[in-house]
Amino acid sequence: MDLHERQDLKDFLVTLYGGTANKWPMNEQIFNLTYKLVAESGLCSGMMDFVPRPMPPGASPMKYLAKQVRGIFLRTIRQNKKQYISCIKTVALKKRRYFDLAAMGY
Amino acid sequence: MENLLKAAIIFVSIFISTCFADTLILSTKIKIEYQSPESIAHGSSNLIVKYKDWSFMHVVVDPKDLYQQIDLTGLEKDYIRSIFDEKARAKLPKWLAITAKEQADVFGVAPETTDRFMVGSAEVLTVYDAKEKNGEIFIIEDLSVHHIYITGERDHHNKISHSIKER
Repeated sequence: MDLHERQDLKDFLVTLYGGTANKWPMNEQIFNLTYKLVAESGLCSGMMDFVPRPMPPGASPMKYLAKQVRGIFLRTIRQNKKQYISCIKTVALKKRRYFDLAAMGY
Repeated sequence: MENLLKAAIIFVSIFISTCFADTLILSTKIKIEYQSPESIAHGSSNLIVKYKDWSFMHVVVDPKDLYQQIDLTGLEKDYIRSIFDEKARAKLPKWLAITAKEQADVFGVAPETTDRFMVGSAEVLTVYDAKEKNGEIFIIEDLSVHHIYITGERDHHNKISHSIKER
């Protein structure tokens, strides 16, 4: 991920999880968790229309998505973060553990 | 005979120490006794206890931080109860009851997936999601609410929930 992508990802996650996300590394693992959280929540209709689906089972979204698509995904979730967060907040609470585990290198 | 007795004592000591060797103190009244892990990690607001193929994580619930756009200060205990209890949900403002229902659905709350019991004066509420292989344990005390995330099999979830004890 380039600098802009990492900033978009952090901006979204800080809005979703609060200041603690400032300390998370913006890497492939965190991107993949974010993508799966958004894609699998199923609570925001139309949210993922711009992302190719379905993804092969076990595939890494970071590797599977073209860089251009990845950039669109990150820009979109950042620009619409308040709208998205309101519809994925309950799934985000359940998935929080995976981000915390990843942030500690597990 | 004496040697046999000594060997038995050593075996029992080793067995006990490897089964429940560590204690996590949550408050003046509550503790968790847990099996010695591979590692323990301290994040900014959590404690992760990690085993080879499962883990549990402890967080003290911050009512301002559970959801970023909702400040649950003063309502956090009622809100957590309402995730597990429809009657408690009915007492909440409608907009919050909708969120509690949504959270219950996401956690997979159902009679067969949940457990509810008291440990001293603390109320313990648990739910296990067999599909995702993770569980939630909430401990409601007078002064705080604890959230324990289990990532692993149902046995691990049950083992931790039943290791919550009075100090």
